[in-house]
Amino acid sequence: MINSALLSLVQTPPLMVPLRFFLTAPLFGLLFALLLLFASGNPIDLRWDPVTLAMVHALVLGYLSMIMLGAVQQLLPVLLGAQVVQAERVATYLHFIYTLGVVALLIGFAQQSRAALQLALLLLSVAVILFALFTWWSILRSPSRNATAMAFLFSTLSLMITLIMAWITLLRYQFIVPSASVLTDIHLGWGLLGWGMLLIIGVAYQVVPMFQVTAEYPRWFRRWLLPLLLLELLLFTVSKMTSLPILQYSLFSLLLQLLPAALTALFAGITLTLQQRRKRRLADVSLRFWRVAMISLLIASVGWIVVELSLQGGLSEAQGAWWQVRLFLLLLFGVFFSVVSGMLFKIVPFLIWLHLNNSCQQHGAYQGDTPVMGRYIPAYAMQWQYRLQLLALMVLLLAALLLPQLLPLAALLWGGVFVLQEGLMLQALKHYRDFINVLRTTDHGQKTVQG
Amino acid sequence: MSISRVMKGDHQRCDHLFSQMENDANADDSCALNASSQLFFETIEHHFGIEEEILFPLFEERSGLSGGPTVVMCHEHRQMKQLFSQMRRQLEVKALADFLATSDTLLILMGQHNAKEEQILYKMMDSTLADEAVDLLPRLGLPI
Repeated sequence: MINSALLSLVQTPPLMVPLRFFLTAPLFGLLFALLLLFASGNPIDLRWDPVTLAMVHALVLGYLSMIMLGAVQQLLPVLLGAQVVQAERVATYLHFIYTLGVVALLIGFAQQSRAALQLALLLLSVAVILFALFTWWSILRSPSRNATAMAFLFSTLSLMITLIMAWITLLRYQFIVPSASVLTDIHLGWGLLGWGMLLIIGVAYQVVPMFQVTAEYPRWFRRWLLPLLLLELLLFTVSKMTSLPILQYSLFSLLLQLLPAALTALFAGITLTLQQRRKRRLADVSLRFWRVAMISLLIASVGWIVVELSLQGGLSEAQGAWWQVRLFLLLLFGVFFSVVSGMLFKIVPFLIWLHLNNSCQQHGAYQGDTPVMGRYIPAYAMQWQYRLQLLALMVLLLAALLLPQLLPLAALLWGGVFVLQEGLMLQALKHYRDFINVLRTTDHGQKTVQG
Repeated sequence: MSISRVMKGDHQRCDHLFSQMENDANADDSCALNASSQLFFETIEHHFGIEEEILFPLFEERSGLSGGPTVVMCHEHRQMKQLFSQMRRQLEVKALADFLATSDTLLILMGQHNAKEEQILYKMMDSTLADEAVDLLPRLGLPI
């Protein structure tokens, strides 16, 4: 009995391994909301303003990547059967170094401080290398060679390339906050499409069928989508950084702009179809978040294709950039943040249940008494989070497209989203600690009686 | 036909029956729920039985891997069986909201358990028990 408990625990990293990342992320989200609330001017149209860059990185590094780093460490053993080594130690160092790096980066951008930017890149490099080595080592030791393993491999590689591009960009600009360039385009491409989208696709391959009891993604699609997207990113990078004649044809260049959007639209379409035909009729909050994400992805992808084609047909560069920034907002807030919420509301309660159940076994208590998932984050609270997040998304998009005077309201709503998310996770953790305390007291009491 | 294909097919059957049971609970249809839950519990417990009594011992013997992945799988079987008993009690007192909360937990536990079996353990069995598969598969009592 004890052996099996230990083995099971080996397969599941300690609760705080992912949770410390999940609990830190909304704090950066809140920082973004505050920066947006007190921003002077319209940050959406001041893309290269240092404070805007700080806001964007608070979201993509402080919030989104923070959660992704925690999730990968949790999902490696669960989805790939990888035996992770030193999970607690790696998570502690990674979380500390990465968080410091993000804080230094935000200060570097906002204060336009070279020293802070240099420190930030050093810290983030150490964190990313540590994370990549940990992930690749775990995948190598995993017997699983499926598309999700491929996604974890490719997305971690993309994260490293994103960081390398950040180094190249800042070295080129001598650590002065950069403006639009080919280098920043490449950096953005690897960050969003490589690190972000490849990971979402790999996770979706497993969790969409698992959570909603749908059919699996078609085999041809699973096999080809990830390598195609990676190849596309590589060709895009080479075409921008070199002058190889074949890559400079305008038709080829247009294809490189359109292909990823066409592929992500296909991914969104297939996911929505699978969910529509699911066997499980219950439409829980997680499913709703995934649907919002996939509808947003479909709109963002098709929108990207329309903008790129319009640029060929006479749309000015400035108008094109105006639309692209809006599509970027939809991708970030509509796609990535919805998937994150949809995942957190499944993962966090389940992990707490799993760890409590294992603790019961270790303490010799009856495991049937472990409260099930719905007790840690109640369904009605998740519903409120969903409604608030959807409203915040709508108001932000409305502010970006038509009514910039709504931006402060969007900032307040998103601030509310992050506060609520943090509060719900802390409440779940409190339930966990209360239950553990009861177990320990009971256990201690039993031992005292026996003694 | 391989061990992984037959066992994965049985996972899919269990998933289907689980959804039917959950849909009945969600629709508050007690009569249908009694039948669908009984069918789900019987089918999945039969699946566990096949693994624990036939496949796992044989695999452990042939591979020499006792105390490895099969022990973890058996541990998760026990966790799922505890949830089954909770759900049966909740059905008896018609506490359907609690029943759905428990089935939600079961769905994820079952999902990640099945993923590990399908992607790792069954594939190991396919290669370790390749010579015996023809004789072994009819003994499992599953559609081949």
